[in-house]
Amino acid sequence: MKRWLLITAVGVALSCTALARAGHQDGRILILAQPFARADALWMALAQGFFKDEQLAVTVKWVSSGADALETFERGRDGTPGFGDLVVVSEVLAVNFWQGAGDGFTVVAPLARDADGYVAVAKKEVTTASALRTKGVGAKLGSTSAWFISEYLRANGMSERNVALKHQASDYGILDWDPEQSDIAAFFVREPVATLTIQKHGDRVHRLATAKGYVHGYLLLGTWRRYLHEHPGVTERLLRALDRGRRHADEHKADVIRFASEMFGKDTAPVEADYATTERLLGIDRATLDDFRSLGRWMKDAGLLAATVDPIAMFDPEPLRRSLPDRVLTEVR
Amino acid sequence: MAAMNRSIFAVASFAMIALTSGCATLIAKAPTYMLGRDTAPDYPFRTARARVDAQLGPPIETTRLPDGGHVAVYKYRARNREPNAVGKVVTEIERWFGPQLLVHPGGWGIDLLLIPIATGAAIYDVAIPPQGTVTFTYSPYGELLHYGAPPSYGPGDHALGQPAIGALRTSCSSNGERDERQYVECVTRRLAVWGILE
Repeated sequence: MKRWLLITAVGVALSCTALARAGHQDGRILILAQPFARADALWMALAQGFFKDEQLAVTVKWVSSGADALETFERGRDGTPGFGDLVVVSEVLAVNFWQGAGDGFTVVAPLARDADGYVAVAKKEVTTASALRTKGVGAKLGSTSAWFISEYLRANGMSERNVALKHQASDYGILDWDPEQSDIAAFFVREPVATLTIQKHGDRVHRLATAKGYVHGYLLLGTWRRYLHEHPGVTERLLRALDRGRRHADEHKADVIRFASEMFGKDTAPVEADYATTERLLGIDRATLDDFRSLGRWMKDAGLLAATVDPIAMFDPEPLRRSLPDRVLTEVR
Repeated sequence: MAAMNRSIFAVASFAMIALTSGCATLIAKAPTYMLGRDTAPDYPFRTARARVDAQLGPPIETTRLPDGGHVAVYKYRARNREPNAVGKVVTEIERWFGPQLLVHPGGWGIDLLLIPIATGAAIYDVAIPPQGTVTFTYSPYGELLHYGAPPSYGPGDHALGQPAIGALRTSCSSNGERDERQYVECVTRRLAVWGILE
């Protein structure tokens, strides 16, 4: 009898040790993210200790581009696929990655989105969408700006076939634009480039439209589905801390700007521009669904997404539903 | 007897000169083979800062980051890629005048003189080595995250690359748009999206 009691006691002790170790490991999170103010909820959760309040030891590896982040996230290390626990990435890249990763990758929440930061800058004589017909339109094709063009034209009874799209390797190519001589009538770019262009060319150009009412550029928090299974409850704590970060960022602009200045360099003008147009979301609402349906349609038109794929299926709303239930539409499954 | 001693002295001197010929060059170049690193120190992801500090010494500059991490700059001993100016002169003299130094008795003295000069140049290189610097970013938990400081602000508008035209066509036919008109419509739409049709 005594022997059985001893064996049971040792077994219980070992289980408790294992659980404690698992709990400790679960608290260590590596996130790959870009230096982008649309992720200021993440910045503030780090700087204000909101992750620590949730007993999470979060490390963010800052990566200069979303494509690099996803490559690292996918490639893995030491023969083990998957490097990093979560990744922060834009909507176009996320859908593309999700499609390639099969059902392995999922998005747990949009962190933020932006519509006013995407701008169509046109020659002064181009005052309506229909004035773009047959004209050259410059943009970085394959990007959110190209999706914006598609929706803008569609909303005005046209399509890409009614204009001549010209690929721009960088948004900053617009700064070499000569509005009088160029055959490009408008550029679709992201701030702060639009503002810089208008400053440079004065009244020879103007802001034809923003993406408001057409599309949003998103920053999404994604992870491997297996991570959610292997670390139950961790993503929920992470989302709660991010929500506090979201509120803090919304209310304390100076903290956000200071974080960017100390972390990513002294030039804060682009950060201020992004801060001004960011809609801090951390939720899945009607506009999210509409946007991703529209994005799916455009990506299919571009041959970037298989015809049968629905990008809404990329989302796993359960962690969000468990941590911030009012942020998820009931119809999202 | 005196003549024999002179001969032995001459042979011994010649042998010594012959044996030490080229030594000055070897001595002058020795620091380029033996000491320092060709490349910056390399550590795996999540190496503890304590380990890096133990191997490289304390950082010469540390900057705290607002996420709780640190950027640390370390000095390390870089390898001399070539001898210093004095060493170079010694090696050039031996390279260009080596045979004559052996043949002419006056050259023997010069060759012997080069050795201490080369030694002095080598000692200087060893005593005052070139320094390299390497910058690491650490996480808030003291683990190595990456080389250099965090990237600068401002990702662009990320873009996906254009699929090959063949792939665009193939995917149109595999999308079930088998009707010729629908297929042409699909391909035309895709080419327009990528700015291929004007």
